[in-house]
Amino acid sequence: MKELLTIFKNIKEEFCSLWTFKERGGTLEIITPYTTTSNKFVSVFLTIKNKEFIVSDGGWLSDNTYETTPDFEDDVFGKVFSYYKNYYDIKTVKAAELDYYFKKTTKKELIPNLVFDIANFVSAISSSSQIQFIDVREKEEKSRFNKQANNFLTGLVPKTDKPNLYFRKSVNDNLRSIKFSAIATKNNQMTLINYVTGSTPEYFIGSIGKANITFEVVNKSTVKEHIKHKVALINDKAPGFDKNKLYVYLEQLESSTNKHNILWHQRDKLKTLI
Amino acid sequence: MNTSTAESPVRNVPRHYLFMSKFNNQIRTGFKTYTELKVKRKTVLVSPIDVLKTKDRHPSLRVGHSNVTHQTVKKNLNFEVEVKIDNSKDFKFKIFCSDLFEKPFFRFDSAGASHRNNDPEIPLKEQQITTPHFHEYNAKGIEIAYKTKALLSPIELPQLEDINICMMHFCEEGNMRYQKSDFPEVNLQKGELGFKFTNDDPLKNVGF
Repeated sequence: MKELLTIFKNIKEEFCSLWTFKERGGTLEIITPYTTTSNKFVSVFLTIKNKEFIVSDGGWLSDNTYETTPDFEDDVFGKVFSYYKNYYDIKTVKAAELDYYFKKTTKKELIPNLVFDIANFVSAISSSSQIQFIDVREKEEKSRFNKQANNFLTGLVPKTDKPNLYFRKSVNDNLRSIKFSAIATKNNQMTLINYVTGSTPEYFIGSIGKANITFEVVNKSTVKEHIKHKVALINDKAPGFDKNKLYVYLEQLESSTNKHNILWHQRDKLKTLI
Repeated sequence: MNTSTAESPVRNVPRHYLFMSKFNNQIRTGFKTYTELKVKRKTVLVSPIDVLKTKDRHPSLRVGHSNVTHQTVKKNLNFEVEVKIDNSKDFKFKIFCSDLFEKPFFRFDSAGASHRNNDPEIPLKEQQITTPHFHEYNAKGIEIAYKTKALLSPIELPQLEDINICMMHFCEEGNMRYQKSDFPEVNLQKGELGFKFTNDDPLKNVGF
């Protein structure tokens, strides 16, 4: 037993030696022994604002510091993310295009609890975002169409109006989890655009369903009066685009978009809508 | 039979390495070329390198690039400089040979997360390497971060926070030059990065 206790002492010492810190202006970066599967040590950031102690991830989960990119387009990952976020009771705030995940307390003695929860959360989310939940072909198809469509829309909006075009954005904080592929705003009116694609007809149907739901949700919300158009930009060049199999679903989508289903090969029609 | 040391289909690599994603298989199998790429002289074709473009899917990062030639490996090489928009002390230098390796084969991080040198032979307390640090690979294909003497020196380290001074150190370490013997420069004076930006506090402008 004596030997085992000596080993335990060494284990504890080695673990504890991994706690370190960096002073970052008014914030303390605490480097923890928790790790990600991308071989990074998790840092949490401690700051005091309005007599509250705030422990956050410093925006590192969303700015790729751990070299893992959470893919919120992926429904399965979305479920994993919500599970951990709810379990650890994590709050979110957006600043300068980044999501900051945090917890806060007024009780100094509870700060270690917060550090424990945030570090565990970051480790879980960063590592699970490395798992390939959907197949590679589908991921590539989505990413390729996203890029094409983003570039096309960017080209449509005059350079001076760039701040009025947003990608992967929610309409407001109350509907934070409902994100659109693109939102174009003009004179307090929004055009909401969802990209619809899929590497197989089954994935395509899923993509149509997702677009439908987001349009329906905003239609029942208070922002309804600010919506100018709802547009589904449909990738008719995708391997999963099979008109016969998708007909019923596209018809349903067309009623949500008020006849603004735009096929990729007719994308120039978008010019009049944004 | 001890499976962890059983012979693997790839010569000289213990079986357990094949089942773990922490190993970069491209580097491990091409280790000779990787070493050649890293050690021999590389020439940057553009200087100064303007850091203007927003990095794909990362609105907080700006990047600049230059093509690079290699003394012996006749492949397309690329040098990338990445700078955080609100902090000029937060930058990365990366050299890619995308024809052979998906990830950069040599790299420097001035700031950001501490790296874990996840080699089972390294004791845990020695696995944590804080930034700033360089990245290379060992023969097993494990990404190893390390600090040079200069990065450990309390006198030299503050000087290396300047991106152009650090560039010289990076080029010395990675054997890279501009033209015959110059060091490439980074230009941060154009576009948004031309403004004063040294916010080291990541939470300064966040309203919790």
